[in-house]
Amino acid sequence: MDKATLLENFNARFSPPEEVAKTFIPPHNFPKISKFFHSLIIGPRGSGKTTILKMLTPAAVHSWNSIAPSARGKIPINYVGVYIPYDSTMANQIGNLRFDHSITGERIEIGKMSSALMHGAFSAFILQAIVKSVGDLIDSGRLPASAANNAQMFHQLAKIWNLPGDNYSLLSIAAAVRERIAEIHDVVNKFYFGVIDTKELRLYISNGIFTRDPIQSINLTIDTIDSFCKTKSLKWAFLFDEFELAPDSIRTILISAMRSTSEQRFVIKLTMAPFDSSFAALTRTGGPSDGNDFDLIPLWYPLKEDGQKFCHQIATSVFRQHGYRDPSPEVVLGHSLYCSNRNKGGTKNHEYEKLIQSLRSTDDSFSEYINDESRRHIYSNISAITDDNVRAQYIRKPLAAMTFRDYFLDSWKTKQKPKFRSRKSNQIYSGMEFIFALTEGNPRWLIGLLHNCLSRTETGRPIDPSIQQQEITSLMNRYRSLLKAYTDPQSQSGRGLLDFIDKFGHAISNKFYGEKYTPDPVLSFSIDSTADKYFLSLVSTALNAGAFIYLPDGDGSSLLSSFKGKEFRICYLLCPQYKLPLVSGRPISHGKLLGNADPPKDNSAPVQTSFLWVQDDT
Amino acid sequence: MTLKVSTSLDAGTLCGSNSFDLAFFSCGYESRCIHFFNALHGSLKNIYVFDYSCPGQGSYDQNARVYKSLKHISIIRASTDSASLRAEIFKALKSASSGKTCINVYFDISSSNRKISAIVLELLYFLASNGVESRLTVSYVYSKYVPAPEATATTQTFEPVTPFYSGWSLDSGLPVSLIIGLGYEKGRALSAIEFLEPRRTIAFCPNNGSGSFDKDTGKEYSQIAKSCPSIERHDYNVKSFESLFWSLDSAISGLKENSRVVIIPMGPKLFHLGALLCALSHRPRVHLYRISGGSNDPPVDRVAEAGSESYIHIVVDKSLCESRSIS
Repeated sequence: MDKATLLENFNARFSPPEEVAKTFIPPHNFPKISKFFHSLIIGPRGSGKTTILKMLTPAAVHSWNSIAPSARGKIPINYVGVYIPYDSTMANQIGNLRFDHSITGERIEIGKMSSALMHGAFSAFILQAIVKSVGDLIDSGRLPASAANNAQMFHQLAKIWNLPGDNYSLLSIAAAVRERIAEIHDVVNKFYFGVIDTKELRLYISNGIFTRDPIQSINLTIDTIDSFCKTKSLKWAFLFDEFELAPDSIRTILISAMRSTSEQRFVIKLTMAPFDSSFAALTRTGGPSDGNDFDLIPLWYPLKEDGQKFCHQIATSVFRQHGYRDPSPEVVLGHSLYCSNRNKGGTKNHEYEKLIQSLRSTDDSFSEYINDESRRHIYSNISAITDDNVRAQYIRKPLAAMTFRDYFLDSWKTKQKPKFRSRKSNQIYSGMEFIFALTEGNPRWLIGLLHNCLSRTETGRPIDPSIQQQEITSLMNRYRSLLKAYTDPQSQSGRGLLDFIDKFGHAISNKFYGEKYTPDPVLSFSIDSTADKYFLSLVSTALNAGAFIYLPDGDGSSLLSSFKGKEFRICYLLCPQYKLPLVSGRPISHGKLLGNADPPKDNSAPVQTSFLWVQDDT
Repeated sequence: MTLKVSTSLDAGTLCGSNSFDLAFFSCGYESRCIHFFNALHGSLKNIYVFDYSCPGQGSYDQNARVYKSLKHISIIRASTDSASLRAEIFKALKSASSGKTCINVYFDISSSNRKISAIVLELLYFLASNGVESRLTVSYVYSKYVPAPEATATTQTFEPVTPFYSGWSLDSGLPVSLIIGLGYEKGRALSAIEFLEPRRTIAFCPNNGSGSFDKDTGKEYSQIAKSCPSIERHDYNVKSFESLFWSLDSAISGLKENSRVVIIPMGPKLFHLGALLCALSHRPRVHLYRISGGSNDPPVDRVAEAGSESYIHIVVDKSLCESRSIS
C-alpha cells in the first residue's frame, strides 16, 4: 500500500474540494448543515469540519453530483460556497501583529492599531477567497466568461476593497489582493524597524481596509457582482474554517451577524472548537439564537450508539475501496466482545452465564452483589428471564462493567488491593462496535485506523483482532503525542494537559476497579463550582482537543457557555490507557473524583513509570 | 550574506586574525559556557555575558565566579522580558558600531538559548538594513554525550521563536511543509508534527559521529516514521555547517513556492543557527518556531567535548535584506 495514503494524509485541509468529494461520506446532519441558513459547526480536531465546509464549495458539489449521483443522491446546494481557510500557523502569523516593542526593544503603544492590522489582514484573506470563488464561478459557467475581464465590475470591487489603481481584470485583482497582503507585512515591518512612526502607521491603517466591517464588504461585493453579472438569484455562503483562531474583532462581528433575515443573500457557516469564549454572545438574551437565527451542529457523539451508523458507512466505503467483495464491517472486523446479536434475547444466555460464573469466581464484590436476596433469582437462571425491562436492567446495562472487570481483574477481595491479570494485549477493544466507539465518529481516526489495519492484512481477509489491537494502541499513542503539544505556560511542575487528562483517567479507573462492583459505575464527571480559572482553562483545552467529550443533558444544547455543573467523559480513544469500558456511566463531581487520583498498586500488576498500573503494550 | 566555515582554527589564530568589536558569551548551568571564554577573554574587549541566573544548578555558580572575576564584563539578564532583552543587546551593538560601517562580532552559541541567538541575528539584520555590515564569528563546542531524559517534559512553548520569525504567507490556503531538526527529546517532534498537520515533513537528522547520540536520534526518527511513514529523512553532518546550511536552503527553496514552510529547529544549536540564517535569507516566507519544555526541562550540565570546536564566519550585509522579495 502506498505510504502516502496512511493516517497522516486523511486530512481534508490541503486536498482540493474535488478530491474531498471523491471519498466523502455525509454525516447524518449534512442536510441540515448544507441548508441555506447560518450554521455554527462545532467539533474537536479531526471531526470532519474542514471536509464538510469544502463539500459546500461549487467544485466539490459539482464533483459529487457528477460521480454516480443515483447511488449517492445529489447535494441540492443552490448557493456559492466561499471557503476561507485558516489554521494555527496563519493565526500565529496574524497574531504576531500584536507586538508591543520595536526590533530594537523600544516600547510602543500602538493600542487599537494592532487589532486593526489583524482585522485588516484577516479581511484580506476573505477577499482572496472571494476572488478565487469568482474565478471558479466563471470556470463553471455560472458567471459569464466575459466577467473575467469586466473592467467596470473589478473597478467597483477595487473601490470597495480600497485597492489602489484602476483597470482591473480577474487576474490582476487577484494579484492586487496578494499585494495588499504583502503590503501589510511590509508596513508593519517598516514600523517594527523604525522606518515609519506611529503617525504614519495610523495614516496607513485609516486609508486601508483595516477597520471595515467584513459584513459590509461582503454585502457591497455581492451587490456589485449581482449588478454587473445580472445574477440577482445568486446566493452565497461564506465558510470560515477554524474560526476560533480568527482575530477577536472578526469573531465578534461574524458571530453577532448570524441573524436570520427574510431576504438573505448570504449566510455564514463557521467551524469552531467545542468551546470558545465568544459563545457567550450566543447564549445572551437578544443575541442570535440556535434554531431561530442559526443552526448549531455538534460533530461529536456523546453516546456511542449515535455514531455507529456513520462509522458503519465509512468503514464499508473503506473496505469496498480496498477491494473487499463483502465490505460489511461485521465481517471484516468481527464483533466486539458480547456485542454480536445483543438484541436477540436468549441466543446469548449461555455467554452471559459464562461471564457471570467467571466474574463471581474472581470478584467477591460481584459475588456479593448477585447473591443479594433481591437479585439471586435473576442471576441464578438468566435464561428464565424473559421480561425485556428486567433483562435490560440486570444484564444488558451492567454488561460493560461486568465484561471489563472480568477481563482485567485477577482477583478482587474486600480490604485488599485488586489484582490484575497479566495480559500481553488488550484485545477486548477490538471488533466493529468498539472500534467505532473508540474512534468517536471521527472520520480521520476511523479511516486512518482501518487503512493501517488493512495495510497489514491480505485483501479480502478479515482483520485479525491482534492487528486491530496493535493499531488501536498506535492510534491512541499518536493522539497522546498530539496532546503533548498543547502548551501549558503556567505549568511549574512539568505537568501539562496530558497529565491533567491522565489524572481524570486514573481516578475513574481507580473507582472502577478499586471499589466494589456496581452495575452503574462512575465513568464521567461534572465540573464543580469551586473550579478555578486555570483548571477551567485546562478543561477547555482538553475539550477542544477532543480529549474530554461534553455530555449535554437530555434536551440540553451542545453549546457550552460555561463549564460549571456540566458533565463530561473521557474520549474513548484514551480509554485503553486506563482499561476503561466504553460507556459514559454515572457522573461524579470532579472534586470528589480527583480526591482519589493516585492509582492503587497491587502485587501482580506490572508497575509502569509513566502510567503506573496500566500495562503498556507498546 | 557570505558564509565561511572553519573548524580547524585554534583560539589563538581566531583572535590573531580578527579584532572583535564585541563578544557575547553565556552564563548558565552548563560547564561549556566558559569553554571559549577561558581561551579567548584575554584578547577580547567589550564582552557581554547573558546571565541565565540559576544559582545552585549545574555549573552555574562556578561559571558566574569566572565571569565576575573580570571587571570589563557587562552582564545582560537573559531572563528579562523580550523588549528589555532586545534593548540591551541593541545598546551593546549600537555602541560597538557607532561611527562604523562594519563591525566584527563574536558570539559563542554553545550555551545560548534559542531566543537570544534569534534576537542577536535579528538585530544584525536590522543593522545591515541600516547600512552597517556585520562580520559575525560564531563559535560552538559540542558537549559530551548525555543520555536523553526518560520522559520529555510538558511543552511550555510552541510558537514562533520571536515575532520577527513568525513568517508571512500570501495565501492562507497553501499547505504547511515542515522541516524539523531532530533532537533526542522523546516524542516532542512527533507532537509538533501532529499539531501542525503538515502535508510534507522533512526530518534533518544530526550525525555527529558519536554512536550514542546518533543512536538516540535514530530511535526518535524510527518512532516518528512509524506514525508518519511519508516523512523524508535527510542526514546531516553536524561538523559540516556549510553543507547543512545549503541543504536547508535548498529544501526551503523547493518547498516555499507551493507551501508555507515551517522550521522547528530541535537538536544541536548549529542546526538552529542554520535555520535562523535561512529564515533571514528567505524572510518572510519561512515560519521559524521553537518548541520547548522551558523551565519544565530538567537542567543538564553539558561538558565541552574538547577538540570539537567549530567556528562559523558570516557576513550579514545589505544583500541579505534585499536578497529575496516577498511577492
